[in-house]
Amino acid sequence: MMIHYKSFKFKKGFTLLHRLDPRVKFFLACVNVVGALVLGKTLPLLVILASMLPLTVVGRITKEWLTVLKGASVFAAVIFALNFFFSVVGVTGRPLDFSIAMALRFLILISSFSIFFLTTAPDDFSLAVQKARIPFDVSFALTMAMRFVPVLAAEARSIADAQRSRGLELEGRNLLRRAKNYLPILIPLVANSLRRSMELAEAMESRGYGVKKQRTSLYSLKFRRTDLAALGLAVLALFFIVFTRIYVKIPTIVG
Amino acid sequence: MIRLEKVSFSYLPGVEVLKDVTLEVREGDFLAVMGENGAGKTTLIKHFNGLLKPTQGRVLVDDVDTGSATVAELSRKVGLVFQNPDHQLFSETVEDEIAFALKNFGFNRAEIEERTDQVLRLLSLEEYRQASPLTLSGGEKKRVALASVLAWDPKYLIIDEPTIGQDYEQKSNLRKFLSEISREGRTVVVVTHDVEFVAECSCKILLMAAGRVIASGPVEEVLTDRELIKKGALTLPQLVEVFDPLSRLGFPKAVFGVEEASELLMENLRRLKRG
Ligand SMILES: Nc1ncnc2c1ncn2[C@@H]1O[C@H](COP(=O)(O)OP(=O)(O)O)[C@@H](O)[C@H]1O
Ligand SMILES: [Mg+2]
Repeated sequence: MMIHYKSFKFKKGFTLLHRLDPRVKFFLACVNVVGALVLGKTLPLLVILASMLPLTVVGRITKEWLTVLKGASVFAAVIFALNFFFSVVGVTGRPLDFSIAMALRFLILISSFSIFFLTTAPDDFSLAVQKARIPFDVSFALTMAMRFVPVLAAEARSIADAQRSRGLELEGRNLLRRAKNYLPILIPLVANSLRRSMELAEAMESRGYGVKKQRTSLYSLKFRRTDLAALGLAVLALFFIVFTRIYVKIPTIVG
Repeated sequence: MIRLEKVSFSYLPGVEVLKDVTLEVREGDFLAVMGENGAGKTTLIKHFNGLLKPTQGRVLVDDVDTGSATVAELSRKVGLVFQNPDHQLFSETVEDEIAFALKNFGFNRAEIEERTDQVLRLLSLEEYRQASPLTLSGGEKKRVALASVLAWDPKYLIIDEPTIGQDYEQKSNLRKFLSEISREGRTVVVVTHDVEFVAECSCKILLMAAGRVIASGPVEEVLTDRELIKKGALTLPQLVEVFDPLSRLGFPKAVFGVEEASELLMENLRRLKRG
């Protein structure tokens, strides 16, 4: 596994970034994603990626973020190579700048959500989703999915151990064969997840889940001044991105 | 022979889960690895077929260092049956499940059929041949998992926590089965914290606590030693608890079989009655 699940797992902390309202953080991640999608050139994408550094410093997750980048860089390299190859073969104007931009796009997408999940507690996340007027069933499912990622990762490892002990080879050069060899791992993993979710559903229903339509929460989210400031910055960034996209002729810096 | 020489192992830096473990599993041994949850038993046996490599020391399987062989190569000799059968069952039928490893190890079609028949019979699974492994009961799943490993006839059979979730009768059948294949000459290592299960086995015990081997010896020695049992956070077998005080009346200090115990008591009570 080149990108470890820990890259997206909440890391407890009390920094400004951790305490920020999850909705604001989510909005911020979305702004970055929008930026990555609408700006297709190396220079602005580099700026966006670089702007994440101070964010991670504030959240004390720079080390984790760099690990994410390192893991993702393998994929980014593949994206770069494929784009470069096909745009050289095709007709696109500036293959190098374009291919780098594509790889950067990927890094930004991964980073945005990694930063979000690294600094947002599952409970805050579920509150935020609820507040967004998404039905509780859906938000609960989302939160549970998030919580079960580490469980699933550990289970995948145990399954792989069991199958390798039965002579299953997961290494080797033939990609197609390797993909096929993952079936003995995927099938038990999916089957167990299904079974677990059934059991969970039964256990929850026997404890009264879904009896009351109107739910209340013990904790609630409150918008503070810092949230407002951060939101303001994010909106500003969004304007800036849209403005750049429409009115600025971005120079190509490479290729 | 499987040999561990001064093996230490950590999953995370700084936390040693195995500490300086040296041991030998000789051919024909019938060995029970015991110890409480978290003692490091599963971690230990994952070293036997190279799933884990020691952070310090080395592991030799028939004189081959596990560091220089693949898991598949080692598994041909060292068959590991994992605790949770749900971690390995994936085929559409029990038959396919058993054939899976046989295919991986390169057996031909005729051999696969012959061996599948054989283990299905051996573990009384014939009627489930075409059943989906996922629909079986817990006990049956465990038997299928065991069958799927026995099928390739590994020289060493290592079986992790086979008694968990099994009822009394299933356990006693399993004990008979393991004793049987041990008597036929196969090397068997059972990992368990079930003292009652081990008490009736004629095997050697390797007792682990906090990543170390704290004792090794025959059942009569280890399972009657209060100190050791306490250190290993296990409990004395019930029959030992019964006979230990009775030994002051001239009874043997420890009796491990229920039948043997009942006969002994009957005989003495009868004698008493006769006066
Ligand atoms: N994959 C893992 N990563 C980190 N720690 C682990 C892992 N597997 C087991 N451990 C730890 O190693 C110790 C020994 O575990 P294990 O070998 O499973 O014990 P046992 O089989 O005797 O119950 C435990 O403290 C457990 O938490
Ligand atoms: Mg274990």
